[in-house]
Formats: sequence, structure tokens, C-alpha cells
Amino acid sequence: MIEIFFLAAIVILPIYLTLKAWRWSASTSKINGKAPWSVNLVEASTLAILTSVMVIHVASGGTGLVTSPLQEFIIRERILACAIMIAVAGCWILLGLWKSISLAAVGMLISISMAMTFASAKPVYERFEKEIRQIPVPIEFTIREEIDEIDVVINGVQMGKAPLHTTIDELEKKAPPIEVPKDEYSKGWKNFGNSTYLPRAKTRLDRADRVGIRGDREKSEPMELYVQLERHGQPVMISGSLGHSGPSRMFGNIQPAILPLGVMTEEWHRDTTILLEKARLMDYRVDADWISAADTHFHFVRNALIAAIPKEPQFRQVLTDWAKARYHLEQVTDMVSAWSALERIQAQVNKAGAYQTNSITGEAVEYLIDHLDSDRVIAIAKTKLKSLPTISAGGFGYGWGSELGKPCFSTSFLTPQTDRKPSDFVMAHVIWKLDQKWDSESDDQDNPVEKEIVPELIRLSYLDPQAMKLATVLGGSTLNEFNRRQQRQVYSFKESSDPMQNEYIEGQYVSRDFWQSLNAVGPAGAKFRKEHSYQALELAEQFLNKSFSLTSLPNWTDFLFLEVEGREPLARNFWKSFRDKVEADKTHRPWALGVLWSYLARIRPMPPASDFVAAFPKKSPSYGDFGNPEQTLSLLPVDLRLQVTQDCIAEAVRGKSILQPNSEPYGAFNQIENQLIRYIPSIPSDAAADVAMQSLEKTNPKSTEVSRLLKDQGTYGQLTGHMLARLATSSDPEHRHWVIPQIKILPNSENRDTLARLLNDEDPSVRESAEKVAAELEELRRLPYPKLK
Amino acid sequence: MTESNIVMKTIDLTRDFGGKVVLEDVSLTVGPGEILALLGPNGVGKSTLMKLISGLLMPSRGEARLWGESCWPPSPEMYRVACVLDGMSPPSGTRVREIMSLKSCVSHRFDWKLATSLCEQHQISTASRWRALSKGQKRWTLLVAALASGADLLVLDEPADGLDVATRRELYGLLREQANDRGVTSIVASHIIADVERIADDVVILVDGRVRLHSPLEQLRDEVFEVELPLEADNSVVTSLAEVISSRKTDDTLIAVIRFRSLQLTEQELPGEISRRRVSLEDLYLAYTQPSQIQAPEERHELASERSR
Amino acid sequence: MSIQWPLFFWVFRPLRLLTLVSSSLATSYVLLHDKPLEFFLDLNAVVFVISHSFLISLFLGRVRSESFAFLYSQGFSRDLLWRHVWLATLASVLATWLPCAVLILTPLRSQFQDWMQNPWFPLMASTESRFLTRSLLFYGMLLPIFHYEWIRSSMPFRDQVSGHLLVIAYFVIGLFLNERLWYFGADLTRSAMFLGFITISVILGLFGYWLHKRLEVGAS
Repeated sequence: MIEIFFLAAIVILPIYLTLKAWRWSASTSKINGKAPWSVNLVEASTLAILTSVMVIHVASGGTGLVTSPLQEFIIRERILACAIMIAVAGCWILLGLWKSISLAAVGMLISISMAMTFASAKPVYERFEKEIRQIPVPIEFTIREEIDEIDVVINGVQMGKAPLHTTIDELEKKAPPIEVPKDEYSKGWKNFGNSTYLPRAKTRLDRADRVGIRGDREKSEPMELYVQLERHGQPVMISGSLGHSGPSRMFGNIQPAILPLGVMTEEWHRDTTILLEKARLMDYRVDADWISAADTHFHFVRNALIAAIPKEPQFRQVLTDWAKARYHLEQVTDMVSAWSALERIQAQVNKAGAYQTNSITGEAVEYLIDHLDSDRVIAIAKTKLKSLPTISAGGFGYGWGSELGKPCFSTSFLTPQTDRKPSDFVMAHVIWKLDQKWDSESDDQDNPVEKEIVPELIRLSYLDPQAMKLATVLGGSTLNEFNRRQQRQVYSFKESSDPMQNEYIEGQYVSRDFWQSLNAVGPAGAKFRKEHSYQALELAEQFLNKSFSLTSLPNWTDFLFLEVEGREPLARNFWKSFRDKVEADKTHRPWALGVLWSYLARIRPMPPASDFVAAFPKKSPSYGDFGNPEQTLSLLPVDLRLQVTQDCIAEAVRGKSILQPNSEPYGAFNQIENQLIRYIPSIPSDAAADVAMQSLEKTNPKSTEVSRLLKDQGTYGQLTGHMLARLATSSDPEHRHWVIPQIKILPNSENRDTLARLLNDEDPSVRESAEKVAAELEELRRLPYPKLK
Repeated sequence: MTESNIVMKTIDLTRDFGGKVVLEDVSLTVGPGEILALLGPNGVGKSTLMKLISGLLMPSRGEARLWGESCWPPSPEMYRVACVLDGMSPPSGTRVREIMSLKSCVSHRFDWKLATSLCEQHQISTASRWRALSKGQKRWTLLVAALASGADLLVLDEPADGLDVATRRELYGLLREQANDRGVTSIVASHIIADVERIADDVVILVDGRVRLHSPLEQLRDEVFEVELPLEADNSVVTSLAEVISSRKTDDTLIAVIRFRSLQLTEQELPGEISRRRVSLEDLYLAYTQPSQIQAPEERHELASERSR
Repeated sequence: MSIQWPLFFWVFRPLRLLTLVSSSLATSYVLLHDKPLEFFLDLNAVVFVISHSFLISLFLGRVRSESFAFLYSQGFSRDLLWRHVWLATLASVLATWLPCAVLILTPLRSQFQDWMQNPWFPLMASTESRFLTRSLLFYGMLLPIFHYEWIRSSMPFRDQVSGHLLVIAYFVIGLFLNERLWYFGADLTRSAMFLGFITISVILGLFGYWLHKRLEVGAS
């Protein structure tokens, strides 16, 4: 609509004015003569100001042509445009002083202004396209971890130290493309922790995409290159494939292609492992020496700790101790010292330019929660929120973490946001944690966050729906009342004609009030979902039909799992549709079971094991259809895992029974059966341990599968304390034998006690193994802390 | 009349509209206490002249001055002027009282008593709305506001329009009274020449946007005559003594309105076949505004030479 | 600055009905509108202010009418008339917005909306005073321009339409740039552009005063 108006304005207005000018000048030229110079001067000045405004508009980017992503390039055109328009502005004044403003002059002003911003777009763009090829497209190779002295080798040619700033042209000249056979490329990869590292990583680099005037993109032929890293002449491995990358154009600027490389060497990985093992030996209470050693390996140890915490929650204590040492939190004794510590952290975060909840800094912030002057926090946050038009543009922003339903206050190193201070994210984190703390103390009455901060967030949510997400996390009676009332205004989820009243979800616009009410927590939300369940399911159906790439549970499904007044959650009613869609999606089979089980696992009350088993593929599966069953099963609550695993094993056996033993589906069922059997000993429950022990009996045809797992010394953390306890007390010396390598892997105090018992085992080979491991642990204890040189 | 006591003076005052000259090179002077009658046919520029004097229009050329101050842009002295001009009237819902109140804002000399009594005499209630008044009452109300305003200059365009004879007489009586008592100057444009004749001190006749005549009325009375002579008679005596303003022929006689070139010349005897008698202002006006059929000697000469070309 | 009340009422007369209508409309809108009031996001409010300003100028500037000529022929100084034209303008704006201000600031509107179970109230009440200041600022920008327009078009110069054209140019460019103009203070360029428009209003406001002294009345 607005385009039609502008088109009309550009085309019709100048013509109209010119015609009028001719007619008027003919009919009025004999009236009492030209206006006095003062009138002309003022009107010419007015036109000059309007022209200058257009100059500023054009010079600063403007709209139409000038917002297109050519800003960097068209600076010359803009200077020309500005010069013309400044000349025009000057002409108005001269013209005005000499003769009165003619009608054509006004028409000209409008025409020139608009021509400058719209009509000239095409030729300028065409020139841009010719010249863009000559603009050196910047590429940056950076190292994720703070490690210096790393040399970057591209296509076998030494290019310099990281961070390496280069261009595609330079790369083509200095490091011409090479052919690396597929076998050789994938040779030598290693898994360190959960990540795969390659000695040579491949990437495909685009030139700056050709961007059409309407924002359409046209890809150019990418350049393929191989990256290797070295440090002090020793090869350094790179995390995974770098995939497809290239410079991008954002708001007219060509952003360099940044390739952040995760690095690792066997030595660093070993050092990290040693540090973690020594921490276990210290029962997770690390000392200052450990911390100073860990500091030298900062990123590696931090990543390893964060990765280990889900399985070994005791490592959180290490993270806390480390955070305390890093930010001198031992000195925090009162509110004043806590506040100065918080300010210190904020300053460091601002200097670093990024903040993540899930980090040492985040840990330090959480440590401070109990010591901070909460009134001061609330007052500062409230003042800040009051002055903001939106939280996403105004600074008090937050990101959404991978853990469902939990905010993760994070900024990214890669996309620095000039208008946000990362320290504000620290404040947002503090607010969230304070709310959690107060809620855990008493959830009956509104706490200060719910009283003071939530209303401000709701206020901001009028212009910024993001704020509502944060408000929903914090909760409280104000939010509940807001939700209750908001529902009165909701009639449909259909897109509103007022763009302010819509939200863009999963490729479609939805009424914002409906969406917010649907996702509201508390009694108001529960009531709404009950009253609008039909519409909610219809909306879910629409989303599902638009969904693609279901490799994980999409965020829009959140509302399906929320409480519904007096009924089961909507997820129950929607389950069939969801399952059909996921199962029909052949391209994402390896993730299908995980997505379905994630869905079921979020339903409350928890569905019975039979529902999980029902999602298990039954007909003609192929290898890979089950994805990673251990990971998928860990999504389930502990008390369901054994039942589901056993039922699934039974399903696999049943499936096999009607298939030819040498067919692919038979093989696939057999593979998943074995995987599931091996999984049972890692279920942290006595029942699972009992089942696993039974399966070890020689009469069990699958005993070798379990044995294989238990013999495998490299299988880290697969055995739970329950299982280890049974094996350690088993009458079978072989079983006791299997315990010892596991103790080496996890030498916590409980396992060390077991080891002490096994040192006096009646079986000499067990004793011998135990002594060997005890000696290794002693050696580990004595080993100096490894430091990165 | 010295420069210091001139109330109104125009110098080469000219105004055109869209190229059409309505008023051209009008130079007039009016002194205090004078009543100037502005006469002329319709569309001759009387109203334009009055608007120029009242500071409502901008001159194309020349200047109008009031008490020495230029009328354009309107000077702060304008509060001393009260106008009743054609095509200007208050909104229909206005009450008479409001008109008087508005006028009283202009000048602290506004005479409420006079205004009220003049309205009451003509059965006009101050609470009446404008739309409820008759044409004559409307005109009277505006005149009362002007007369009571205490203004030093009254600019009245067709003031008697819609007024009955008695009211007209009352109006002119009041004008004369204000002129005599307070030295109020009036510029009155009217088509009812008989009324004007009673009170005017000076007469201005505009023809085609130019001043055709500007003269004291007394002097005109003394100098202007209508003469009648046979067609075959020699009229050179007449044209040598007087200006022929207009003439017309009957079957055997020529009747002309003439103005002696000076008061002394009126004493001279005319040949026996030429009879003369005094004329009214109305006749004079007609004579000035209608084309002449006999020319003055110099005019005749010009005409002859033009024909020969 | 003296106010001549009879003159003020006289000048205000053509605005009486307009003010009554605009005041009723604005008051009802402010009381009943169920979304938080945000001036530049509310097309209704923007159109209302533009229309109200335009109509004020249109009614006050009917130069060719008999009543306008009557008033200007009464011997008032042009300064006094100009002052009262602005007083009448201000009166119309204030009569329209004072009740709204009372509703917003007391905060009756918020209480009413709260009573109507509007979810945004009373939470948003504190933000709505901006609506008043922004709408008044918008009047302040528009009225000098509209007043200039009628004065300029009544001047006996060539190009009488220049006034109209300046207003057209002002609005076309203003509309063209609209999104960039509303965020004064957001950055230097936006502020500069906004100040450009303010400057035009100030210049035309002051010059309108100068031209008004030379306004022709009763030309036929």
C-alpha cells in the first residue's frame, strides 16, 4: 500500500505540479508582481532545509535504495547525491532571492529527492555489482580458545598466526586449491570428550553473496579450502567440519567471514583429563594450585567441566571454587564487598564483550546472589527498565537457553551488539536467580522481583514481546492478573490487521494476545488453554505442517505441555498428529525417536512406559533409525528408563522374529537390541543394576554383550554406583575385576573405598589389578599439575 | 492645509487586480473635520480606494497616509479609523451587543450611551442577533458602532444603503455634528447624491479609476452652470471662458454643462442667445460621468489631427 | 500581553463547533481506547492531530469571508489580531486535550480501563503522559505551518500557491521519512532531521507573524 502511495507521489505529483505551475504562472503572473525578497528568502530557506533533511537521509543510509546492502560501496554515490542536493539547496536560496519560488521548484525538490533515493537505485546497484568483484572480501580465522602462537596453514601453505586476517583473493593467490582424497581427509580424527577433532578441517567459502535490490540472494561458486593448525611446529587438531561459510552483508556493510576454530591436541586433552581426575581425587574440592593450572588451560578445562556436570554434578563445586578464586569471591563477606565484586564482574564482562550464564562468570554471579543487596539490585533494574523502549534493543537483553523453560542470559562473541552492554545480562541473570531464591523460600506471596520488575517487563512487552518471555519466567500475581485479563480480549489466533498485535511464530503471524495467553503460566493460562483448546490444537496443527527439520522438539510446542485446568495437557490430544508427522519425515529418522520421546517425557503426568514403547519403530527399520539410544533414553525419567528399555528390547526381539536373519531390518533390530542391553547397567537404579547382574549370568544368551561393555575400560562413566557396588560384591571374581578400571575412571571417595576393599580381595588377579590402579592413582596424585606452555 | 494637520493623503495611489487597473494615480488630501463625498459609477474603484485607506489592501503603486503614517502595512493608528464597508459583515449569529463590545475593544472612547440610544431609537435591541435584523437595521447597527467608536476618521461606503429617508437624514446630521463638534473627518461614498450634497465639504468624482474631479462643493456651486444656445450660434465664447463638462443636442439647441475657469469669469456677460442657469450636484455628477458632445478648442484640435492621421 | 476578551470570543467563534467535536472525540478516544496510547504508533491520533490542526487553520483563515473582512476592518492592530488568532488556536487545542490530560494524568483513564479489566492497565498508565507531550509537540509543529499557509495564500504576490506547495513538500517529505523522524534522540541523524522539521515550523511561525501584518483583506 505504502509503495503505491510513493509511486503515485513520485510519478503523479511532479507531473501535476509542473502542469499546475504552467497554468498558474500564466494566470497569476500579472498580479501585483513578485513577492518581496524576505518572503522569497524564507520560502527558499524552508525548501533548503527540506532538501538538507533529504541530504541527511540519503547520507545516512535512508530507505529504499540506500538501505539496501550496498552502504559500504555506495558511499561515493551518496557523496555525489549529497553534493547535488546541497547544490539544489543553495539554488533554492539564490532562486528565491532572485525570483519568487516557482511551483516547478517545489516539484523539482520532491522529484530530485525521491529520484535520489529510489529511481537511481538501479544504475547505482549495477555499478556496485561490477565493482563488488574487486572489493577484497575479508576472511578471519580465529581461535575460540585463548591460545596464542597458533599458525594457520591453508591448503598446505603457511599463512601466518591466528587470528589471521586475509581475503579470498589473497587465499587464491597464495594458497591455490588442492585436492585431498576423501580417505586421507577423514584420516586421523579423534574424539576428545564429546567432540570430534580433525587434523585438517575443510570449509567452503563464499564470496560476498550477490544481493538483489529486493534482498534476494544469488550464491557464487564457493572456494573450497583445507585448514590446518600448528603450534610450535606441532599439529593442533580442529573441532569438526567448518561447513559452509562466507562474508555476509548486513545493512549494507560487508561483514567478514569469521571462522572460529575450536582447537585441541592430545596433550591438552590429556592435561585436561588429568586435571579433572585430580579434582575427583580431591573429592571435587580443588586447591589454589589446581586452579592456577586450570587457568592456563582455561577454555579446555571449563568446557570439560561444563560437559561433565550433567553426569557428575559434584563438578559444579569445582566450577564454584574456580569462580571464587578467579573473581576473588573469598573476600566477599557483606553486601558492600559483594556489590564491588559484582561491579568487578560486570566490568570484566563488558571488557570481554560477552556473557553466558553457563560459565565460570555465571557461576560467580550465582555465588554472589546470597550476598547481594537485593533492594539495590531491584532498584537499579527497575530504573533501567523504566528508561527502555524495549529490552531487546535497549540493553537489558537476554538469550534463550537450550534447557527448556530456562532462560540463558547470554551474548555472543561473534555478533557484538553495540547498543547492548553485556553487563546488563549479568543483572538480568541476578534478577532471575533472586526470583528463584525467593520463590524457593516462599511462593505464596509476590517477591520484590514479581512486584517491581515483572510489571515493568509487562509494560515493555507492549512494544517488545521478548519482555513477556522473561516476565513469564519470573511469574507472580501481576503477571497472572495480566494473563487473566488479556484472555478476555482474545477471540482468535488469526493474524490481526494491526501489526503491533501480531507475533511471528514458525513462519506465520499469530495474534499476540492469543499467543501470550496460550503460553501463560499459572491458573489464568490453565483456564485459557481449557477454554481455547480447540483453537490451540488447530494452531498447533498449522505449526506442525509448517515445521521442517524436526531434529529436536521445536520451541513452539511449549504450550502443549503447560497445565490445562481440570484436564490433561494439550500435548496428549496432539500426540497422534505429532507422532504421524515425525514418523512421516524420512529425512530425519535418526532423530525421530529422540524427538518423540522428548515430547512424551515433557507430558505431565508422565505417560506410561507403553506410550514410549509405542513410539519405537516396529516395521522394517534400517541402521541409524534409532539414532543414539543412550542419549534418547536419558531424556526419560529414571524410573521409566528400565521399563522402557526392557520393553523396547522385547519389541526388537519381536521384530526380529518375523524377519530374515540376513536382512537389513533384522540387523538393525539386532543392533538396537544390543545397544539397549548395554545401556541397562548405566541406568542409575537398583532395579536396573539387578537386571544387569541377571543378564551377566552365563545362561543368558546376551551375557557377552554386557560383558563386552564392562570389560571396555575406555567406556567412561557408563556404570553407575549401583552397578559398581553389585559388581564389587559379586561372588564372581571376573565381575570384581571389571570394577577396577571404572574406579580408575571415577576415583571418587566411594570408589576409592571400594578399591581399598579390593586390595584385600581373595582373588589374586583382582588384588593385582587393584594394586596396579591404586599405584596409578597414587602416581596421579603425585603428578604435578600440568600447565599449558 | 499644512502637512501636519492633514488627516488623509494619497499620493499616486494605484491598485490593480490580476492586471486590471482599478485605481490609478489617485492623489487626494483631506483635512480634519472635512466630509469628503466620493462619487462615481459602479466599479470605478471607490470601494478599493476606501479599502486602501483602511489598510485592508496593499497598493500596487503609490501610497495612502493617515495622519502622516503609511496605511500599508496597517499602522497602529488604524484604531482611529472606523469603517463601514461593503461586503463586510459579522457572522449571522452575532448579537448587536457583541458588535458594540468588539468595537469598544478598539477604542476606549467608545460611547456606549450613544450606541444604545441610537439603537433603541430604531427599535434595535442589543440582544438581537445579526440574522434577525432587516437590511436597514444591519446597516444602521454598523453605522452606530462606527459613530459611537470615537474614531477620528469615518470611512463609509454607501452608508445609506437600505436606510429610509429619515434615517439617512439623521445619519448625515450626525456626521455633520461629529465633524463640527469633534473635528471628525468622514469619507463617504454614495450613489444618493442629493443626500451627500447636503453635508459634503469636498467632492471627488472618480471615472475609470482616476480622479475626474476633486473640488470643494461650494466652489462647484458657484462655478458650474448649464448653458443653452442655438445650434448655429458661435460657442467659442463659452469654450474660451469655461470648460465644457458635457453637452447634448436637441433639435435646434445645444445644452452644455460648463465650469468657469475661475470665479471672476462667472461675472462676465454671455451673448444674448446663450442662456445659463445653476445646476445641482446630481447634474454635475452626470455631466462628469457622461461623454461630452462638444469639445473644448484644444480637444477639438487633437481630434482633428487624429482624424487626419 | 493583554487579552481582549470580546475579541478573543469573536476570533474563537468559528472554532466553537470544531472544538466541541474534537474535544468529544479526543476525550472518548482517550477514555475508551483499549490499547496503551503511543502517539507515533497510533495512526488514529496522528490523523486526528493533523486534521484538527488543519481545520483550526482553515476556519480561522477564511480570509475571503465577509466576517473575516469585518473583523480585520475594525481597526485592531495586526499584532493584537495575530495574538488572538493564536490564543483561539491554543484554546481549541487545550479544550480538546485538557480533558484528555486530566483523564490520563489523574489517572481516570487508567482506573476506567482497569475497571474494564483491560490487562494493560494500570501498568501502562505511567507511560501515557508521553502521548500528551508528543501530540502537543506535533500540534506545535503543524499549526505554524498551516497558519502560514492561509496567510501566504492571501498575499497579493505572484505564486500565491507557494504556501500550499510548501505544506505539500513538508508533508510529502515528512511522510517519506516518517519512521526516521519519530525517534528524536535515537541518533544524530534522526535528531538532525527532526530538528530540520522543527526549524521549518519555527521559521514559518515567525514569518507567518510578519506576513500577517501584510495580509490583504476584502480583495475582490
